[in-house]
Amino acid sequence: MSITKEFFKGLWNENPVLKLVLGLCPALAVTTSLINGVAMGLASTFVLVMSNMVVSLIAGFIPKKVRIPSYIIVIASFVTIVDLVMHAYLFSLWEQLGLFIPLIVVNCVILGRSEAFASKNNLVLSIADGLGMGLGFTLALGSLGAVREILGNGTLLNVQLFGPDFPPFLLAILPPGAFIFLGLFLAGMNKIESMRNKRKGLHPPEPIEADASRCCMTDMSVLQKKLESEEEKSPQVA
Amino acid sequence: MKQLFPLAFALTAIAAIAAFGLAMVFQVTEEPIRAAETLKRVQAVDSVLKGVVYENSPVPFPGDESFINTQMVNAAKANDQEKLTEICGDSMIAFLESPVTDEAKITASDWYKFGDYWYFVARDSSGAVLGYAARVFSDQGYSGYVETFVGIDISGKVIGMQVTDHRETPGLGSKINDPDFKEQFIGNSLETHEFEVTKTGEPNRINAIAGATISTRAVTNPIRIGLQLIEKHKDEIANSKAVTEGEGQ
Repeated sequence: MSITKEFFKGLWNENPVLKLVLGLCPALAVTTSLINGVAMGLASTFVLVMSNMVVSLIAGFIPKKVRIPSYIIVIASFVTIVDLVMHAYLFSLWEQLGLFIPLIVVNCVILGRSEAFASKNNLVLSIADGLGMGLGFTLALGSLGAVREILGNGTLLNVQLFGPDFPPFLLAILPPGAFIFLGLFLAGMNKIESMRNKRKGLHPPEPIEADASRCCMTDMSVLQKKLESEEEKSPQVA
Repeated sequence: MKQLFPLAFALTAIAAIAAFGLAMVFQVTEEPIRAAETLKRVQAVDSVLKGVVYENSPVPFPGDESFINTQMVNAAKANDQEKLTEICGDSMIAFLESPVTDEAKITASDWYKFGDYWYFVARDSSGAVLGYAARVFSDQGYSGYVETFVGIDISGKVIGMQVTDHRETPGLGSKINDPDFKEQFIGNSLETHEFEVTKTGEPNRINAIAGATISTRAVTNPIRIGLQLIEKHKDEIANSKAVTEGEGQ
């Protein structure tokens, strides 16, 4: 367990979108351009780092039974702060992302990291984890946004790439395009991973199952049961 | 009961601390947010009055006099993004820090209030009425408040419209700001158009956005009422010059 390890795992090995397949709602909805993807990613990163930080500090004081509502209050507060600050100082960006910012509250990645990591680790490791996961999320959203913007609009960061004659592949920036390109990204990740393993002489890994069973809520119900059985054994310490 | 107390205490403590933090951030951001929102509406007035060359100014804006000066209005009117950024930064911070001189404040206002809605009356230099920009709204959106600016020419024809505030569902209700939807209003007046929502494609009505009929109504109904109000008060406006508030209903 080292800081760098916790940081880098979020970028590739446990990338929230491309490996854990979490937080797909924003990944699909806002990635119509590079700037939207990156902005959403950075906003989420901020919330993730701050909530991880606070949760790792207060986890010891919070009775286990109310920990989820407590984490949600922490997360919702930071999301509101991001919303207000962007509204005040980055108005044009807020106009585009404003409708999606409140959705960060229900982003699986953030509650998932609070529950699975920050509540069990110290402050520094939690910050490293939040930063890594957040930047991995930003990376995934940014690259997805870049590909969709290039193909669907013929631009990158609003700069024309192919001249005025380029016929845009409109599907790429429409909602179906989000699914198609996310699928291609996941396939690419699996391919790279299996090639890496082959080189190391390992068996190819199980392909990622992108279904709801991987969502954090499942893990939580398992955890809840585990906690309850622990509580039965020893009386709860508030 | 004994077990409940620590739980309730922990939740209350966290909520109280969170509320305190939010209150502080709100205090700091309140003014820049209001300024940015007002500037957006000043620009909206200009954009819905497309093609109307008016000489009077929509500033001071109803409910907000302190933030905008002539320089900004002119830049906004000319849609000169560079100048705007120069004056107010991306976010108007620079502007807020600089004092607003009395000279810069425009005192004459051509805003009228009929019913619930405010109307900006566009005039040329002689004071003749060229058109109106109505700020209409509805509380009946899918997620509450929906505010729309409508540009109306003197014959009562809609010449432009823009939704300036809404919280409708992304991808569904948010289509009320798509050009395809807005196009339906342009060029129509009460004489030729019902300004009612239809789901079956009847002529001279507004086609509901698929899956977002409520959002469509929250835009269409206020526009109809807004048009009816201006029709009723037309003469009153023509006969008065630069009176701030007309007779309410």
